[in-house]
Amino acid sequence: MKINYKTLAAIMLIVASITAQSAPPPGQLLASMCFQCHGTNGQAIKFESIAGKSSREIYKELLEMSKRKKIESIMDLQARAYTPGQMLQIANYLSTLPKAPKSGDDD
Amino acid sequence: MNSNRRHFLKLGSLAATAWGFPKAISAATTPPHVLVIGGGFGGATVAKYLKMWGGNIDVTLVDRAASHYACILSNLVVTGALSMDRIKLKYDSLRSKRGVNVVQGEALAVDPSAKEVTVKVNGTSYAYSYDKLVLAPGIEFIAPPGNYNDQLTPHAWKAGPQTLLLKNQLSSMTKGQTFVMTIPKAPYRCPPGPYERACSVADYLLRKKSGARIVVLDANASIQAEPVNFGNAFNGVYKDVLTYVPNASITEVDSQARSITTSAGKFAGAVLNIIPNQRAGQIITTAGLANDLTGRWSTVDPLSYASTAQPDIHILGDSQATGQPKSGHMANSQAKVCADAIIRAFNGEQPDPNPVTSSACYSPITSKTAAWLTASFQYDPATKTMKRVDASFAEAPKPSGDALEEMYKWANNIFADSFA
Repeated sequence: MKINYKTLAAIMLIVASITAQSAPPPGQLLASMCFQCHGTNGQAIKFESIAGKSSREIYKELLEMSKRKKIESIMDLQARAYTPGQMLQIANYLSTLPKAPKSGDDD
Repeated sequence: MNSNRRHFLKLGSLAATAWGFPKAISAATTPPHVLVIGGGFGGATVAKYLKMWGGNIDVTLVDRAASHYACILSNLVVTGALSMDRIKLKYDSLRSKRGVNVVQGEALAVDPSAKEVTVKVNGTSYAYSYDKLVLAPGIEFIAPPGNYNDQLTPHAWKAGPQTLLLKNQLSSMTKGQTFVMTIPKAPYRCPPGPYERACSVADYLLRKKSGARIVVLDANASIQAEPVNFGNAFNGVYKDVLTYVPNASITEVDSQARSITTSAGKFAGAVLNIIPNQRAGQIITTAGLANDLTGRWSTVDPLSYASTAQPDIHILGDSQATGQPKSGHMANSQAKVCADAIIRAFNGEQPDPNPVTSSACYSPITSKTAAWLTASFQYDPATKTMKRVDASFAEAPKPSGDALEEMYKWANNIFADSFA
């Protein structure tokens, strides 16, 4: 049996997917703590969708909320759970996710 | 053999002895198998995220019921504001969208050395093999002394038929009658839940049953969650219909007579809603894994939720003893940490050393307002425990209509993130 490049590549891909799953991407686990309210992979039902926003924007918002003196919403408290380094990991990861097809954002 | 049939075998003498062979030769090529017992918020979430993040992993989810009824929002089913359908969560998406093998059956025994769980399905026992086992069976009740009968004095603390039973008893009350409820000694499932129920029932009685009252018998010394918002409601809007009695431990129950004796006196009512003290789900006790100091809950490593007694058995949600609150939101958080750690373990890696978990919830205070509570936890390497970040822990400044609207959005999102 002759094995051409295409077949070989396909076989290698299958083997790779079985034997060498790579480590979870940085920030994935931390960011998933947002998904209870902001939807799986950041695509929410009616709450604000957070997938596919710029990393800078998400980081800035998290930092602002964590420093807000007068606590008004749950997010002002949830943001306080994370170190700036963790916020950056969350922001970077969320920025890589595809945006929600239609934003249910009314927040 | 398809992947669904590969992981279990009907228990019988011939079949059992033949099992070792195909398992051994197939080990090199078959994907690892994670067996999850319990399809509540923890179990459903871990099954979903193992498939979503893990790729080539077989996941079987076992639950006694064909679908799950959420405790979240269930107090509003008790008062008739919502229907049972609103809290019914099906496993269809986990099956079709995520590829989880969902089995309706009851886990009866765990054999950690053979890595098998005996599961009864339609009256027949099967041995389900696993590489990693996740136990998320929720809570079991410790029956109070006396002739306690949950069909006469329902707890409605596991949503389902019990929710309807309490709803029917409440709606059958006539003017001037009394609703008596008990709050278990902490730790118990959903710290704000009993106080939320007290508010929802008091609101209902005020609106629908004039002259009726509610008596709240708390085994604890004080309100266990959201003391400001619940305390203000008890002493404010509900002060004429609600009596709160702290330090009321149950000494004797008469379910037939709907009367109860406590360390704070004897009470009786037209409805007696006893929420008993709690321990980990039955399979945890059966498997000898209720190994904390009280003998009721399971000690685990919070980096992976692996049992301290059995490293290939993970225990999460209400049954574990990390001190994090027992709630659906928290079970969902822990399930993601657990799924991530199991996937890493299959790749020969250590768990994430810095996990964060969160719990957030909304409670209706009146039929027009709700309050919220939130807390997050960071791993503390010095004590190897999840430590509450105190700056992240607070209740809502006051109940509001906005929070009531947010409550439904939160419920919809956490329902979907766990079950779809």
